Amino acid sequence: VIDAVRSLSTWRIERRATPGGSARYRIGSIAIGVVFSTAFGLVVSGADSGQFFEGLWNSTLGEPAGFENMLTVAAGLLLLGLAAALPLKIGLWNIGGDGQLFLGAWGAFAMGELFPDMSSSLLIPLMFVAAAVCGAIWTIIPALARVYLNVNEIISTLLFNFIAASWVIYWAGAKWGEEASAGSVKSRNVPPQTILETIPVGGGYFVPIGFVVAVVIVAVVWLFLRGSVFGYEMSIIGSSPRAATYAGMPTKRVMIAVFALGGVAAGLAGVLEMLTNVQRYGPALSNNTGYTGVVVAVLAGGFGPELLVMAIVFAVIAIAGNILTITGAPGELVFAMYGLTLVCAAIGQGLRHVRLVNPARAERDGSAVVVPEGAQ
Amino acid sequence: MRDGLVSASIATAIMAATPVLIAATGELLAEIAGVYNIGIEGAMLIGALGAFIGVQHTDAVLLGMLTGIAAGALASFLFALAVVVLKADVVVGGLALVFVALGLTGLIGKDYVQQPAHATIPKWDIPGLSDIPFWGEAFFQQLSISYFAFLFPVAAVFLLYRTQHGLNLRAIGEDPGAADATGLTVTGWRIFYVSVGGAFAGLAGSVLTLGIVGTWLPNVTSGEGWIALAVVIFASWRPLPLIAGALLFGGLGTFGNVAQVEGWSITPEFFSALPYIGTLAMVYFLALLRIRRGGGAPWPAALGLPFFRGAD
Repeated sequence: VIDAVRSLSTWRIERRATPGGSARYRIGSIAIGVVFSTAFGLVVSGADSGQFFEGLWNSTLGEPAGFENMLTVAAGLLLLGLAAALPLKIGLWNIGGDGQLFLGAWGAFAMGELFPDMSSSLLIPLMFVAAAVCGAIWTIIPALARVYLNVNEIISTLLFNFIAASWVIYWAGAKWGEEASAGSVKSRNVPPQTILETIPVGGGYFVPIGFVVAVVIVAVVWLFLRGSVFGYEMSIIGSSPRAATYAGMPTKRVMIAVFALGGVAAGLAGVLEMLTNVQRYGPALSNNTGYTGVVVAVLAGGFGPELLVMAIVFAVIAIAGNILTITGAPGELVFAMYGLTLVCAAIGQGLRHVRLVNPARAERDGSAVVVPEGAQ
Repeated sequence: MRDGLVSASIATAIMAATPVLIAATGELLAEIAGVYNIGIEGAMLIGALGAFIGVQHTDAVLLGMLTGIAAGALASFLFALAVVVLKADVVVGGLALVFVALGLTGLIGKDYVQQPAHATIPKWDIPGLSDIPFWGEAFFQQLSISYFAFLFPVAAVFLLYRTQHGLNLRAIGEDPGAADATGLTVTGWRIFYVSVGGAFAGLAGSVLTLGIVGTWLPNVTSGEGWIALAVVIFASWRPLPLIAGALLFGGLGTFGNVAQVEGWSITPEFFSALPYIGTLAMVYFLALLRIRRGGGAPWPAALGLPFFRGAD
């Protein structure tokens, strides 16, 4: 054993000249992470694995109610993923998705309060516009502080979540609260005509309109950014802000606009969740969904189809976590599962940049030996 | 306002500032070494639960705090391995630490929720001084750990600016390539100081459970680790201003109580947001002043960048 350790000790970690196969590492590490975190959840909760997988099947594809719920969860994660993925494209972090979601839903609920009797074909679009505007406004201060004051946007967007949390409690409780609301703080209901319906897709299955809307939004943004000057500027700023500035691109304006666009996406997630699921204004609109959206964005590594895939994967993990809580595990378990998946993915991402080299062997062969790190 | 209310508020502000100050001091050391530990909130949470479990099983508050310190250090050590050795992205690694910590502490702490702590961090009345009217109650009847916490930044000044060790540490955060050329093992130093930062975060967490709250609650840190990060920015990466930043956060947190006693007709939600609004506003204001003066970036030049030996 000691000899084996000694021979291992001659191995060194070296930087690759160019990072290794991106997709291979990404998919591999995420797959390892999902399997690992699911196994972890199963073991620590002590759930019966047969029952667990049966429950998971019924809550995702096996039964219409589960299918609908899965897509509703995925819709929120998709938009919050977009909220984080857009700034990430230019090297900025938006960790404030939760706050932007709450502000978006606030704007939408306010429209419902102002025009409770308006017809749904007018009121729903109005609520969406209000949500988009409010979500964007909530990003403005952190974005300006980042661009003009050089204050780290991670901290700014994060602390804005805490401010938004108080905002929600105030409006959902003191302002719009129900007379006799028991338990958690929640407002009265949204106007009934604004509840989003579902679309039948055959076999007794339904797709929530909210999910369709979310997918359309992401598709439109993706297609727009692929074919526009703005999207081109984003990709240049993302790879080299300095080059972009020298090329005369409005770097600062693009940064602020991208942040605002992220806020729009998060705000829309808020109104969709409110009109699909919760139907009230209150803290229940998000279960740290904004933070999970960051994870989705990081793992997807883009804001196109890969974002949709990751949103659905994380919706399934969220549902798996919920099933495990039925057998007595605490609700926080699902965050450990997200975190473990993220750890695997983060390490996989890092390992792309390095390789293990055994100098003794490299000398003998005349070349460095590349070991696939996926093996660890 | 009545004197009693003012002195009690000052005392509360100092108590509330204590965990933030401890965590911020640890985070500062890690950042001086060049590693941005976004996951400090997670290390704090793990330390808080570790300390509480330690106390429930040993009935000794010092052993509990040591468990908390060790738990926080271990959590950050693992983060350091991922970030420093395996070159994982610091932000992703930090977020992962927070998520894992939130999940694991929820899971492991399930049976400890709301149990009264078997032992708590004692308050120390400083003989003589604590009997002074007003001043005594405000400043000299604190948790024992608070007196030490306010000395940590002073010790950090000494370490960073008066010793060879501190010079080396700063070199590693400013120019790891040059530090490496002088024979310092950048990777080792960084892992060590991230772990030290985690130990501080663990201590901060144990102050929360064993000193302030007196029990374990899920997500008991509720963002104080994030505040510690903001306090480091507020302090422009210098140790002594950390004290002002932590006191600002702690002080703003007392206004809710003052408003209640005085009967101000302002909604309590405003006061729960006030510490965050105020801290952010001060961070922005100081950044604005710095830009106006034409000052350069106050953070270590290599902060957040992975170090590859022989890369440049």
